[in-house]
Amino acid sequence: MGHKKNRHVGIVGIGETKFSSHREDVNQPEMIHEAVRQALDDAGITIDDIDCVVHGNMELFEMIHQPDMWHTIGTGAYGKSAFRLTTGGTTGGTLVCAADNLVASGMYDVVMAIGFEKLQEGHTTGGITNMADPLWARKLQSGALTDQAAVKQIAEFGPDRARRAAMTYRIIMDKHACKNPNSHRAFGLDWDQMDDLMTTSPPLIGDLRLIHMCSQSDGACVIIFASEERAKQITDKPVWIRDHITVHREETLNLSNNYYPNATTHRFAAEQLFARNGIDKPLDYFDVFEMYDPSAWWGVDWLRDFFLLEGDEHIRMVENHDIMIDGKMPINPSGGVIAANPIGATAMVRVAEAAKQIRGNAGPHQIPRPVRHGLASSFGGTMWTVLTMLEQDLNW
Amino acid sequence: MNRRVAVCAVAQIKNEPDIWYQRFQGMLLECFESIVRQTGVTFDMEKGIRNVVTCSDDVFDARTISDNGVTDVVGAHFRGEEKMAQDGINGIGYAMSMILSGHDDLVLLMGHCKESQSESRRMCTNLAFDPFYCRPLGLDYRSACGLQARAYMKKSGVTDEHLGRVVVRARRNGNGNPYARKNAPVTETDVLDSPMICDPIRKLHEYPVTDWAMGMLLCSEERVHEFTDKPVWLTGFGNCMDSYFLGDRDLADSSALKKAAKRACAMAGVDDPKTAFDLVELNDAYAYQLPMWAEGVGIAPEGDGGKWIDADGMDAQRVNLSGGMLNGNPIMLGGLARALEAVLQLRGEAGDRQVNGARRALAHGNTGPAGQHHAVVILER
Amino acid sequence: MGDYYGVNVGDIFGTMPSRFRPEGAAGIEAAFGYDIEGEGKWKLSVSGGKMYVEPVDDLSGCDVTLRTDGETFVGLNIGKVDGMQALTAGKMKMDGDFNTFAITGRMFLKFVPPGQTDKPEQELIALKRTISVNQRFATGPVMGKFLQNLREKKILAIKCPSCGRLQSPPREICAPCRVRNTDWVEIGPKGEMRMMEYCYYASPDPLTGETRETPYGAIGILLDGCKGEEVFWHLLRPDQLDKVKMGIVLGDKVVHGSRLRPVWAEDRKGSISDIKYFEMDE
Repeated sequence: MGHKKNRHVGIVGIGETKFSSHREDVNQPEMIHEAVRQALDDAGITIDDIDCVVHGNMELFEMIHQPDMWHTIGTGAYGKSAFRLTTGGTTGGTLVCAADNLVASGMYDVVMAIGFEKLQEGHTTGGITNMADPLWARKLQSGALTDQAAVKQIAEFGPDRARRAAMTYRIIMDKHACKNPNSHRAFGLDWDQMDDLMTTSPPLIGDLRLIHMCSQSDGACVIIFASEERAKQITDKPVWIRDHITVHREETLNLSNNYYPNATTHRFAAEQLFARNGIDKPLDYFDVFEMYDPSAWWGVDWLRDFFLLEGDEHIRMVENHDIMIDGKMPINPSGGVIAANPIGATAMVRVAEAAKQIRGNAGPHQIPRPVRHGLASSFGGTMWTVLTMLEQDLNW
Repeated sequence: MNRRVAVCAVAQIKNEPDIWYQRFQGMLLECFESIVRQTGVTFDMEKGIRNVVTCSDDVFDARTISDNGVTDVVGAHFRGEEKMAQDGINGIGYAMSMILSGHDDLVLLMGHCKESQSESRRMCTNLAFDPFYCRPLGLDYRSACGLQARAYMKKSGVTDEHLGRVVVRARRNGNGNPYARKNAPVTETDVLDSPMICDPIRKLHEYPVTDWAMGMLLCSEERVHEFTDKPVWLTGFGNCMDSYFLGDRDLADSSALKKAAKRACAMAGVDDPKTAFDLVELNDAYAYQLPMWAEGVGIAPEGDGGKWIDADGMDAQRVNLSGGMLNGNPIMLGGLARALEAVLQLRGEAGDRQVNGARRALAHGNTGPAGQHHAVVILER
Repeated sequence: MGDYYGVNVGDIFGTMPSRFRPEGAAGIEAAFGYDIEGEGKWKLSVSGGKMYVEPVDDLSGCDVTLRTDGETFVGLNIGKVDGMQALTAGKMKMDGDFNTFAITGRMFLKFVPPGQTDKPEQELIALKRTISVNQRFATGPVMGKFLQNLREKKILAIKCPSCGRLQSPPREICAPCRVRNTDWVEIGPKGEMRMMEYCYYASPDPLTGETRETPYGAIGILLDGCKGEEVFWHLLRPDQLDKVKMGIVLGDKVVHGSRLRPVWAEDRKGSISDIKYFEMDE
């Protein structure tokens, strides 16, 4: 059963820095401040209108203990209520859920959520390896890199089809990234490069090649949330948060060889969220899905989980280019995580981008059709998921 | 707001100097099992816990995404879990919002920290400072507090002797608390003789290295009766962030605490903190903080911390009957320890420390250098 | 030879001797090949702290060869093109390990095009620090018992009293059942390989900074006594990476993987390295 929300919450302002590999021209609070300014300007309000700041990142990358303290000089949290929540890769999504909860509760009217990362200031893969149990898995883990998704899909669909699907997905994401001025990486890949990339891109693990993997980026994202009353005062295009669900799982990574239908948090999150909101056919319902896709292999695989599909329906979506910006079900018009991944911000960027699509002002990568119902996912930890639903109108 | 939020159950292990024989998972599992035993709560998606708020620190755990290691022992497998990366008392405020928003009926809050794990907690807190200026100066929470202590003591007439009284009292109270860290009792002379570690902070003025874990179940008003017949209502919450550079702040004036306390009192409908509370738990990592936070929340007269101690204010207002953080709780969980003690008191389960007929309490926690961030919770029977 | 960004490809090689940093080449004995499309081939030999670069026709003796076009190559050298981006986009290709090639970055001062002032507009300062705080990680009784038994060449799994699931290494709780694990079972030591991560890229150990030699295999083994997803993660004997077969379960179709057995370390301390690796059991 969908819960009865105490009051509605709308997104009224969005700020995103340009994502890049080296923001050496700014320190952490300065970088955050860029996004804060953008969000405030976007909303047309000042810092005085903000009641509460919610902050998050993966602190062991930059090795700052309780960074929200130092970052006060960039966040503007001085004198305000302030929270900090961190959940690894899903942090950005968690911050959105938190801001939604905080505003919906009635405790705060206008909440500013800030997610950021400055990956170039630390060692990314080392930082991720540090999430593994020091007594065992840390000696084995290779960051967020795994071949399991490829092995699974090759076994189920055959090497040729699976590899082509992953590369098709990759090229589509790059085409979207080329339209998004904020992308970190936009190579201008074309279809005629497909065969070449599939064989020459340096392999990282098994069939997972460099070309498939997400980038490591610096960047910040800020979203301002307001109660229904305030949202309507601030903007004529608030984007409503309809519902969200967080699904984590234990740290032990099982064998993903136990093929579909297998118990992924993605599928569970989708099943629960859509059922309680009365949505039978998510593929028909949503107009855009900003999915947290750390690699092209996962991107393809998870389409089946998130849209509750069967068999090879998801692969056909990719093969038919349904997932392109002008296709039946646009996926990541922003270029997704493969194009830019400032980890603490990444999941929030998915929500920000979906919201911009609903507002109709995403920029060159705007979907050329009305976008009313948006979906955004977050990924992190040991296969965790946060799934958020956004609406143009208060239609539920 | 038409819903209220209550605490249905609390659980904790004993605060200890070095829980070398258990890892976090074992420490938390004890608390988890206790909560489930006390309340019979399940994790059913319709009727049970769907979301858990954890509290831990990645730097102290030396582990990226420190909540990842404990997802299973807090019951969060295929459930939501969100890590509060400030003092866990803020997790109470956040959990309140989860329930008041209507998103959840039940929230399990679980925290862990082992200060004994790293070779130096000061090396860890040094990392809270910006790498360019403050960190190379060697600032850590202790030295930041040293600066604050000097400024505050001068302003409020708090002396070395007063601090001696605070420490003796903390240890005596802690001794009566079965979950408190077991410390050797000390006399005022012991405290005054204890070496200066960061003038004016002496060794015995500083909270000792401690390991601990705890759990708390929060529930919406409609369903509280399913889990307990002694709900403790969370009627007020407020937190506030101060500026970062120590030089930008008036260190002797805990302005963030005053704002946090005001916000909590406003939410709870409390007009006069001096008379509203049957007991008060303040997060005193250092002895000078007890009178300083007492002034900040409004139970001691502004600028008169010393006189307040002389007039036996600490006992009169029943401050830190648990022993406070000064007796020993780990960083990140100090505020939760304060709130947990308040819950026990309001349920009449505080043993020898019990304040008879306690109906309303204030619990406080803080995060960051020299109290840059404060949080206040108001609890009622 | 063409000019790109006002720079001639030959100049980059021609200035290598003057830009050379012997300290960056310490301990390196290797030959690096450069195959610049439309411009030519060069071979850089580094040995005993000295370097020698010359145009060649044949790069077959090189340990690693960079293949790219003139524009990308010049762009890389003057900071206009990001190496990782070029590699990922296929504008630059590597015959051999790209990590090896990255070493050349340390060996030379940055190329400054003639005529360009070498003072950038604003000096950007970066503070480099290695942060390290020693830790004492507790094992607790559950992990402790497991590690102790490894010392005795026994692999234990803990069993959930409710669903019977086995976990090795053990966990205090069975996550789906939310019940404390209580029973112990000995498993293996042999088993069947169900997954292999054939790792070409190794991330540094966050505690020591060391990087494992690549390629290596991180494997998931279904040890005797275990079923379904109850895999045990460890490493494969490095020289058997290309010999082993991976088992697969697809619906009800089961394909069995290579049988493996553990190779124990001589000196066992109660840690994951008490097992050196698993090897084929033939």
